[in-house]
Order: sequence, then C-alpha cells, then structure tokens
Amino acid sequence: MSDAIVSCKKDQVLAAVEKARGELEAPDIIENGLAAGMNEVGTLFERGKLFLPHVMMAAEAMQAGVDELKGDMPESSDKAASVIVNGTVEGDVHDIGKTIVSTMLQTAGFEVHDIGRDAPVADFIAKIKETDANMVGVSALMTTTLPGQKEVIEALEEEGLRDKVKVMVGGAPATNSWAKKIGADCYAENATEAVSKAKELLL
Amino acid sequence: MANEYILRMGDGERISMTREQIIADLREGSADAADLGDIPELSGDELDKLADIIMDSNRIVSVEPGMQVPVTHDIGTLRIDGDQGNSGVGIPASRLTGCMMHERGFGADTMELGHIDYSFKPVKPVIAQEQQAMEVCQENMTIPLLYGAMPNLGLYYTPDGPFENPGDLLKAFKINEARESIEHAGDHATRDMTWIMQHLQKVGCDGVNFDTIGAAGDGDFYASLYSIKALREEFPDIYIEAGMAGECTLGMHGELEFEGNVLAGLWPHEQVPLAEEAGANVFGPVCNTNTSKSSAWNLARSVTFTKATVSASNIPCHVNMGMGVGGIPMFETPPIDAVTRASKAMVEVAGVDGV
Amino acid sequence: MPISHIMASGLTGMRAAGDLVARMEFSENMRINEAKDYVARKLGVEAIDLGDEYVMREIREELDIGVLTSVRIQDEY
Repeated sequence: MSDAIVSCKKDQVLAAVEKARGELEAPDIIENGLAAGMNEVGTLFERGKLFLPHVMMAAEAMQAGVDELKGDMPESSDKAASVIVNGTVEGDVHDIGKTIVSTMLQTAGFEVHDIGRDAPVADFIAKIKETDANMVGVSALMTTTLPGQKEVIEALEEEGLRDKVKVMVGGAPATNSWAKKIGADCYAENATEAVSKAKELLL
Repeated sequence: MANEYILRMGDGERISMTREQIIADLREGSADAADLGDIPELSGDELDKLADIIMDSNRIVSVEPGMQVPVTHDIGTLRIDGDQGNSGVGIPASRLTGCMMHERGFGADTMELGHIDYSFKPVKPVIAQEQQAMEVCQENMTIPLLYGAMPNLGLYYTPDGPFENPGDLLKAFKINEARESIEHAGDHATRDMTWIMQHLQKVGCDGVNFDTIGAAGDGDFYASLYSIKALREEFPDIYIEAGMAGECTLGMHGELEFEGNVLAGLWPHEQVPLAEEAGANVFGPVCNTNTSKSSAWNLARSVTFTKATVSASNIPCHVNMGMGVGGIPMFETPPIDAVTRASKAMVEVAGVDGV
Repeated sequence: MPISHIMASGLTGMRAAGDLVARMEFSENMRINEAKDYVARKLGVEAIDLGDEYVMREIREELDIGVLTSVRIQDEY
C-alpha cells in the first residue's frame, strides 16, 4: 500500500486498497498503508527525490483511496480529529510552502481549510469560526509581512477564540524565538515538522 | 561557565556551549549535509579548524593575511536607500551614490546596480532609465559593476502575470496544466531577462548577476540557465554570476531539463556544472540556515555543502552569505561575531573563490 | 553585514587589488589562487601584496588604475 502511494499512481493505490480490504480494517489501511506511504512521500520530497507534482499526485491518490474506504469506516471516525485553517498573511503572495504544509497536514488526517495567499486577518477569523477550527497555520515569507502573524493572534484574542485555537507559524523569516515572542503555540521549520507539531498539540 | 563558549542559534540568539557540545553539533551538521547531498563529510582536521574558529575568544575574526577573496555585493544599492518593505537602512541616496559608497567607502570588490523591485520583469517598462543609470555608474566607477535582479518566475503567474498560478493548479490536482504554465512562464522569463541584458550591454554594463535563481522552483532555474546561455552566445565577454536561492532546487514542475539534465532536486554541487555549461563565470551556492539549530551545526552543514560545490566546479564559487544562508543567522541584522566566523570558515575550510 | 564580510575576508576592492582579482575571476573564470597569481605576476608583486593597502596604493597610482582618495602619496614623500 505504502509503495503504491510512493508510486504516485491512483490506479495502483485503488488496486492495493481493494486487495487489502478483505484482510484489514479500514482505519488500519488508512493509517498504516495510505498515511504511512504519504509520510514516505514527504521524506522523499524533502530529500529532493520526489517533486511537488509527485506529492500532489500521491495526495490525490491517497484521497481516492480514503474515499473508497469511507463506507467501511466506523461511525465515530466519520469526522476528522482536528480542523486546521492554513493561509499566508495579507500582503504576501508566497504560496508554495504553505500549500505543501496544507497537503501534508491533510494526508496526516487533519481536516484542512487552505485560505490561500495574501489573506486578510478577517478571512482567517471567518474561516476559523465557520469550520470550528482547533488550529490555525499562519505563513509569511518576508520580514515585512511577518507582523501579519502577530495580527492574526491579536484578532483571535479580540474575538475570544485564542484559548480554543492553537497557532502555528512558519515561513522563511519566522523562528522559534519569534513564535514565542508573539505568543504562538509553535513554529515549524518545514512540512514534516508542521505535521509532527500539529499532532503534538492536537492529538 | 569557564569552559563554555558564546555562539549563536540559527535565529541569532546568543547561547553558550561547551567544546564537546560544539564538536557534536559540528559533526551532526556536516553529517546532515553529507547524507542529503551524498557528499563527503568534513574531515577531523576540518572539524577541528571549524571548532577553533567558533571558539576564538575574539568577537570579530578574520582570514589569515594572504587568504582574502573578492567579496561581491548583491541586492544593488537597496541596502542603502531601501526603506519600506526591504532590508535597506533608509539613507536617502541615489543609486550612483550607493554604488560609489560601496566602492569607495566600504571596500567592495564588485558592485551591482539593481531596480527597486529587484526582479527582472518590472525592469522592462523602465529599461531606458536603467540604461541611463548604468551608463552613469560605469562612467564613475572602477570596480566591476554588474546589473543584478531576481528571475522571480512568480511575477509571471496570476495575480501578477498572464499565466495561471501553478500552485493553484497543483492544489486542484491539475498537474499537466501546472507544468504547462511553468513552461510558458519559463520561456517568457528567458526572453525578458535576455532582452533586458541586451539593452544594458549597449551602455557598457560589465555583466549580470542572476540573484536567487530557483526561488520559484525548477522553472526559475530553467529560465535562468537558458538566458545565461543566450547571453553568453551573444556577448562572449559579459560577466555572468549565477546565484542560487536555496540549497535544493524545488521541483515545482519536476521534469524540466537543461541540456538533458533534470533540474529538480539538485543540490549545490549538482547545480554548479549546469551553470558552468550554460556559460556563467561565477556560481553562488546556497545552504539554508536552520533557525532551530546552533551556528556550529549550521556552519558545518554549510561548509560541507560548499566545499563539495567548490570541488565539483571549474568556475569560481562565490558562496551566498546573506541573512539566513551560508551559516549566517536568520536575523535582520546578523550578529557580527557569527558573520565573521562564517566568512573565515568558508574561505579557509570550504575554499571558496569569493563571498 | 557586507562590511563585516569585507573586513573579515575581502580583498577590499580599490583599497588594494580586489577589483583586479575579481575581474580575472569574471573575465577568465580563474579560480582564486590562479587569479591572484596572475594579477600578482602582472604587477610584479607577491600574492600576499594584493590585499596590502601599503603596497597597492603606490602601484595603483603608478599605473593610474584608480585610487580612493585625491591625495597622491608619491608626491608626499
């Protein structure tokens, strides 16, 4: 199953899901097969062995596999464990890193709502309210747009949402110290770290 | 505390570590680069030399007399006159004044003229002004003066350009459409960058610095290499510097090639032969700083990558050592103790031809 | 920060012979030691002199290849 995901081919993934169905429970197939394969894809991407189109093809294949298994899932596992809103702050059009983070979080089992780049603070807040999110990922790739991360945290405080929404920051100029300084819950260096930090904070 | 030494985290924060901790971090940093790039780790002697540099009791260190190298200056004069939205210090000065300050006041070995946006694409509508500024600077200066700008393929995608944003297309799993968009943007950027430099050559420009190549992925690298190739064919004597944006070429497309070589996923020592083949005179390798690691870890990692690049290259390598790269902390005003240590290490251990 | 690099490892441009070494790297793809040896040979000095303001000031004045200040030191002594 893992190998099928790493091959980035939807038909191979669906065939592997079909084969595994009779032998394993659906949650087991997703966690130890599909998600494990996606972790391997993330590692290969960071090592420069697989590229963004492969990551997206693997994610699409994984999604198809998960959709195929939906009917077999127990009732209680119908809803994703945690909901994350992810976006790049207003004034900053950088998108690639944030998109990779969204994809990896999604394939790790989180319900992710990517609000895109150049997103005003109000859009972060509106989406958090709309989706009842537990976490917000705030990306900034320029030293000049970095303060936008602080503005999102301030807006969460003003709206009385800060206690229930964890804040993760990332992007080239963001650092651990910056995260501490602005009162974020964590800083992630890359997509893999974003997934592990989200798991630490939410699961 | 007597046995502890002051150094920095990758984000610039001051920390203290013992000799044993420093050496452990140096080994780990070098091993990380060796693992990723499939290149040799630094030798025991080289690690000892790095440790000595890091643990030097002086705040500022420097290379031994006779070991100096040219320091090429990028980002144009933005560091002087830039004020809002960049890393300049906001001193009102013309670009000519800024260039001459670097030449006569600061002792730069080369300088470059750059546009306020510092991307190639916005230069097109103001090419006449750039030609005029270049001509005046060349007339007043002695040191080599390049024209510097970023390929910045991002400006060719929506909302800033005509082609659909591959980030959006990839998110919608439209892989082929995303790849086509990158190819179109790459071809347009190649044409634009070549056209701009053709016009600047007419006024006696010494050459060009393609700065932060690959910032928008392999399409960015593709456009830069083909533009370098075109310029070299048309202007055999033009000075061309190819400076990278990151340590590994991000595969936005994944299948773009230059002369039969796939561009995605290349590490610095694999990038330099392509820059050389395209016709660059000087290559600027990059190794990114990890803000969660110590300067010992980051410097050893950067020196390992850079040494392998210098070794794989037949052209001079001027390592990128700005904020957040080349073992320099990711901080707006990088601490001088860390900067000078990294500078010395790159020259004396990695063997760079310039900074 | 560039000044830190220049002070730590730079050839200091027109203060000494940094521009000349840089030109050989850019125009002939010479690596650092080859470029220094070439420039030193042309100027009739040792490679270590290329970063030495005391040596290079006089040579630059003699060859009229640009100096930083308006005072001619050769007229002073």
